[in-house]
Amino acid sequence: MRGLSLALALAALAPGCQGTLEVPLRPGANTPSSSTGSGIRLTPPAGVGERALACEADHAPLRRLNHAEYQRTIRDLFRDYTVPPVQIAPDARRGGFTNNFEALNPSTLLVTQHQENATMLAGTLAQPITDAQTCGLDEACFRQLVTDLGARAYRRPLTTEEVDEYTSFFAAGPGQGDFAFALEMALTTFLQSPHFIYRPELGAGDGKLSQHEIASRLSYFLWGTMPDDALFAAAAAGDLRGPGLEAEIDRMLADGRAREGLLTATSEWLELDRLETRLKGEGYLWSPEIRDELRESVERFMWERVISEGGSLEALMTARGAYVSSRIGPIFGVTDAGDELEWRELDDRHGLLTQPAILATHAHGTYGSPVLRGVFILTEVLCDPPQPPPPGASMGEPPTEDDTGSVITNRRGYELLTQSASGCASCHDQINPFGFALEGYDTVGAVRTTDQGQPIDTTGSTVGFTLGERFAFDGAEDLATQLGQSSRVRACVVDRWVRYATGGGALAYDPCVREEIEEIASRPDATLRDIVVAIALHPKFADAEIVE
Amino acid sequence: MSKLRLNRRTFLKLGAAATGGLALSGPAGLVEAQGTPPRFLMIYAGGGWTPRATFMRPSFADPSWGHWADILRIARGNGTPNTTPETSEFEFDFTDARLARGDMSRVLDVFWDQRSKLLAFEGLAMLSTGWDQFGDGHARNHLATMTGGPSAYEYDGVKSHAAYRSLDQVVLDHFKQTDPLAFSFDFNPNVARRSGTSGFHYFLYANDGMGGLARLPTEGDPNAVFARHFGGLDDMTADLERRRMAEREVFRRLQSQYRDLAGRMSGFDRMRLETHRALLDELDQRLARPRVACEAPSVADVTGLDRASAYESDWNAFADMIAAGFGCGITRVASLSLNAIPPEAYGLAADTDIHHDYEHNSDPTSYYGPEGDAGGNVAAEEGMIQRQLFQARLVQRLISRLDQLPEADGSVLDNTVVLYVSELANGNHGSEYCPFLVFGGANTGLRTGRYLKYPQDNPNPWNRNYRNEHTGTPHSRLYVSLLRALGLDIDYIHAPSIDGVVPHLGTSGTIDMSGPLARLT
Repeated sequence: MRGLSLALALAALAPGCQGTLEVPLRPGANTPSSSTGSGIRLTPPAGVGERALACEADHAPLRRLNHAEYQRTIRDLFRDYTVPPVQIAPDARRGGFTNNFEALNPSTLLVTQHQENATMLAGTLAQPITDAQTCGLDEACFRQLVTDLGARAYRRPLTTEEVDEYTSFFAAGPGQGDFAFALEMALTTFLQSPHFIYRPELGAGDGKLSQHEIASRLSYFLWGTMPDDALFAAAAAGDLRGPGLEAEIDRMLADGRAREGLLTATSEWLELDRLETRLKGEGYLWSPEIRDELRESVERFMWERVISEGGSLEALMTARGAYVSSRIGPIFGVTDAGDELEWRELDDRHGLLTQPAILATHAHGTYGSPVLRGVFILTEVLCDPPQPPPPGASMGEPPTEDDTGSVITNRRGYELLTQSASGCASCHDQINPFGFALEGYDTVGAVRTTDQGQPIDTTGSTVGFTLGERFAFDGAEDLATQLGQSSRVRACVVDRWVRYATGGGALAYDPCVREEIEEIASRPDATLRDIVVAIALHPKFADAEIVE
Repeated sequence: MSKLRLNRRTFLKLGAAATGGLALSGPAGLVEAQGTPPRFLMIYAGGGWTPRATFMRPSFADPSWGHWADILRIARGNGTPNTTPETSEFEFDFTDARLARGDMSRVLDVFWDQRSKLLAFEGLAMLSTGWDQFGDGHARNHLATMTGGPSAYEYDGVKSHAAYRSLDQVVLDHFKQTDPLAFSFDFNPNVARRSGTSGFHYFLYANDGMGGLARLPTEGDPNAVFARHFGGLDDMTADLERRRMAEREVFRRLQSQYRDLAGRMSGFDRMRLETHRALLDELDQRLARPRVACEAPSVADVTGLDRASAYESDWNAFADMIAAGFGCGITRVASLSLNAIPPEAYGLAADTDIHHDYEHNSDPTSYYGPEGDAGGNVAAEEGMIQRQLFQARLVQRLISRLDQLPEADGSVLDNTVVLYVSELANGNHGSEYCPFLVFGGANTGLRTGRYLKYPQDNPNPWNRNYRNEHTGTPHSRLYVSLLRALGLDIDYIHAPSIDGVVPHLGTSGTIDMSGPLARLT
């Protein structure tokens, strides 16, 4: 393959090719990489993070509000009014998250949708906002209104020139003297402005982020939306540093928007949206309602047992129990649950990996998939993803009978499907064992004790691809216990949250920053909240230098 | 869905009321005195074809043509190792008087009434997947299908990012050389009516303005498209001129803001803002152009419809808007996805896992007999066939619409090249012996109305699971032919040839990737 690849690469790089559709590879495709002490590889995208790899301050890329951020920001910007729904194309996931700057390109459709939404919102809201004014609907009144609205839309105070510019909608042109019409024009502009659509970080003039830029970093990390009045006030007072910053982070994490924002990140990290497309065969307790409740169950698990105060990172892998209601109770073997989800201690649930939403996502219609489950653990829990299957890899169902016609277990079927003779074993020997540990759970995540009338073998042993440590286990509990104690798992959690917090920016590739946060994560009683706070408080996040 | 209400008069009737009294020339793409400029439509599906329902041999086939199933088994190489190239080349006319309806394959039979406008291809291979180093089988094949070439890099494990623009965007960029405001319709019908991407792997790619490529979002809500391009002409108010002035003023200020902020940025950030500014500028100019009074059937209310009916209704609404958009000159490039069809639309249970339980179990390699008879997992294959037949009927309706719209030199279809592809040759990641269908484009020089078979005489670039030393003709040559028909001066998509060691052969090989597909024009 190398010979052909080389030929292709040379052909692609040949200068001055005529009559072709050559598109240059993104500059910097061969950027250097580094790794953390835990072995997680850091390879920044082109033009981002090279300095960070050397633990130096580096540029934070310009980010556009993604789909969720845009919708929430509009909701919160016009919090006192009834806001009609807006259409905006969702963004593709990149590096695990949809807030990754690499995927946040403008396009014809997005720019059109921004314009249509701005026009619709301005047309809908200009009159009610005008009606709500208590001033004289004159130029001074208009000036004050755009000053206030603009500071919220731009997420920083407007400059005098900017206020003049927006006030001129009332002073001259089509909106002259017509308060509502001029406001409609101003709103249409605000909602398409680069200062609204993007999050530019221009600094305070001292080479550091401005207080309002820090406020936006915090609010989009912790809430997934714009700052509120209190955060704006803290920024205006210069309180977003030292103890004031810590106090503000505490306040924000206690706010309901933290649950919304951080669970969005959790959902993307754990790919919970894939549950929506999972269908199960006849005889299994499954419906859109059951599916939604299982998702809510795992979200409650993550929020209340792992992220919130009182949760712990160890619980991520080992918490014995789940949130159960009467509707999904049968999946847990619980017969006396109430209508609302409530925490139940359960001896056969061991942290995240045994939550039905996770198990059912990584399963087929009538049987669990040790391959999908193993790939999930390697990729999202250990940050040690396998290579994709090679071309022509057979992806059929595992056999249900062996050569003699005897019925075999799901595990044996997968062993035959991926056995050495088929050339797949080199990868699947590392992947499948993790999934075999979860064979005690069926396609919807219910406990099972036999498979095809035969005992279930949940033993396994693997070293992954770059882990450097061997996992040898017997069953889900044993695997979960080892993962709960693994520094690699904690480093992987740090990896995912640093990526999310920075939107794929330079900080995500700074091994020194990571090692500091990994150290915090390695403490026995560390919580995911500790990681979030450590990132938010880190000088390179909240007191960052502006590097051009 | 109401019947399509398009005619020449409504196409050419400029919306004078909508122009606010402006006397502007008509939009690009209206029928011109010196011939109609060509258009391009790409219809793409995921999950693969079913060879048995697609390939065919008519009753008058020469014995030397061989049976497609035999050739396919040799091409796949899972039978006896084969070192001899398969060199048969043949074609027949769909309008041959000897051709009976019963000769047609199940899928091609759907297009019986349009057979004179059809080109069906047998024996092409997506060879770029053989040296694409990134992504899984779907990613490689999808990018080969959409772009004609391999990917640039991998991300998030099994996904990969294109190295080349998708074919529709290549054509659009070409058209923009003469009409800078040209844009494409990119539609992705789905029962949730969500705008966005087309799925896990299915993406269109366009230049991102920063030296790379960006995935294009697609539209899922036909109402939004209808309102933007076909609605509102009756809602003109006396305030219109003032609103037009206000709109221009807002755009002028936004241009200034983006320009100023870009000037304070550097690198990719600056380029991103400049790209955004350019897109705003295009939108501004596009909105300033006179709206064409273009009539398309209104979008049906799908409230209360079951998923299958709602999907079909929306797909047809999008299709009708493409037909109207082409006919009126609103756009000359469109893409339409077939990736989100509810399984119950083609007779399977709503909770069917079509991907794992059908696609991946319908590998033809293991069970096609020499006469193409089925064995193995017949149910899985039949499920795939039913899906493909459903897709084909949707496509046939659109093709028929395009063919019913008259133009000075034939029909809209005669001036439109329609490429209908699936990402895979079959349900199990196959890249070789891929069916491709092309409709229309007679006025672009394509000789339509034929079934064309190409030889299997290129070195096989795949290094796993293939015991055959030869494989088919590069599909990228078909793409070169289509792009040439659309006016591009192009020799190859990604590389003129592939030279190097073909790994499993251990010998040097060369695959000529340049030039058009033989016998097409």
